[in-house]
Amino acid sequence: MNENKRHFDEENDHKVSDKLTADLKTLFKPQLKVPPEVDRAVMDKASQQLVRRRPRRILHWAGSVAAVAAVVMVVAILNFTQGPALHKAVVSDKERKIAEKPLGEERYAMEMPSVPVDKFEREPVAGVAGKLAEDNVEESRSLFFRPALTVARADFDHSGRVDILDAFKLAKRIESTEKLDTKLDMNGDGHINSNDVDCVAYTAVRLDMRSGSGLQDALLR
Amino acid sequence: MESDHKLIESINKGNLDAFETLYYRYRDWVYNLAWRFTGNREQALDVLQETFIYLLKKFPGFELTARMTTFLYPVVKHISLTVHAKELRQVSGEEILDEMPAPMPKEVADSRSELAVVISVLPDSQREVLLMRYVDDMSIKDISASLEVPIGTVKSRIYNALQILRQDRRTKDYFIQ
Repeated sequence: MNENKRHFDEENDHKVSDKLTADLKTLFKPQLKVPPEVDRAVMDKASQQLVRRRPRRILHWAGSVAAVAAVVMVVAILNFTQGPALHKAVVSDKERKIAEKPLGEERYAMEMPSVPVDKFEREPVAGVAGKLAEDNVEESRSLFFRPALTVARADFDHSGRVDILDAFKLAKRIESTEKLDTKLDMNGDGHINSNDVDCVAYTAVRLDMRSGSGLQDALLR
Repeated sequence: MESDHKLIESINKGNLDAFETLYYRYRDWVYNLAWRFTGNREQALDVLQETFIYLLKKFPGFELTARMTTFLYPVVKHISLTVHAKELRQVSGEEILDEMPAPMPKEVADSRSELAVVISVLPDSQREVLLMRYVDDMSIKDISASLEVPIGTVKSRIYNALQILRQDRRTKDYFIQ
C-alpha cells in the first residue's frame, strides 16, 4: 500500500505503551560517555574559530586608519603640486621669520632643501623665459616654507618615526579633558587644537625633500 | 536556562561560553544518534566532533529557524553515513553502503532483544521515524522538517511501523491494553 494514501489526523494512532518507549530508549539510547579529550578538542576548535573573528575587527580598524592616512597623503601631495597659490596664503610673515631661525632654536625647524636656495639664482635666464623661471623658483621656494616638526617631539608612541598614529594620539589627548602640556603646541600658535593634529599628520605623510625623491627633482628643475 | 536562540545570538557575537553551553546541551544526543547510525563508538565520536565543527563554521551569521535537533539531525545523519561508508571502504574496499544492513548497533544485537530484532527488520524509512519519535521525542512536525518529507508521510511511516510491531508475535505484547 502506498504510504502516502494513509493520512492520520489523530496522533492517537501513534500512542504506544510506556513500556515500549522505555525499551526503545534502553536499546537505542544507551548512556554513552563522551571522553573529555573529545570535549577539549571541540572546545579548542571553537575557541580558534570564534577568536579568529577578532583580528577582523582590528583589520577593520586598520582599514579606517589606512583610509584616513591615504586621504591625508592625497591632500599633502595636492598641497605640494598646487602649493604656490595655497602657500602664499598660508605662510605668514611670522611663520617665515620663525622658519628662518636655525634648526632646533624654535619649536619648528624649517625644512629647507638640501640644495641651497642660491642654486635657483645661479643661472639667470634672460627674457620672458627667464622671468617665468624666476617666478617658478619663487613658487618652488615657497613650497619649502612649511613648518616641519622634529621627529622626537611628535613621536608620541616612541616608534622612532612620526606617523599617522601619532596624529591620532595627539587628537585623542586634545579631545580628553586632561590638562594639556604646552609641549603639545606643535605649530607654536599658542593654542593646542586641531591645527596641531594637522601639523603632526602633515609631518607623518610629507615627502622627504632631502631624500632626492622624484618630486624634489621635479621641483628643483 | 537560556534558550537555544539566545545562545546562538551570543555565539554569533563570538561568545565561547555560549557555545560551550550549547555543546553540552546537545553533545549526548548527537553522540547517541551518531552511534545509532554507525553502530560504532569510535565512529560516533568522530561524527560528534565533525558535527560541532560543521556547526561552528556556520558562525557568525547562523540563524536557527527550527529546533536545534531539527537542524542537527540531518547533519549527524549525513556525517555518520559518510564516516561509516569511509570505514567500510577502508576495511573491505567495496562499495557496500547500499547493502548495509539496518544500522543495528552491535550492543543491540548482543542484547538479543526481540524488540531490537523486529525493529532491525523494519524498512529504513519506518525505523528512522519510529526512533525519532519515541527515542528522540521529536514531534511529527520536527521529524517532517528534519527529513524534508510531508507530515502525512511521517505519520503514515510511524503508523506502518507500529502495525508491524503490533502484528509480530515477538512484540505484540507491547500493544495489549
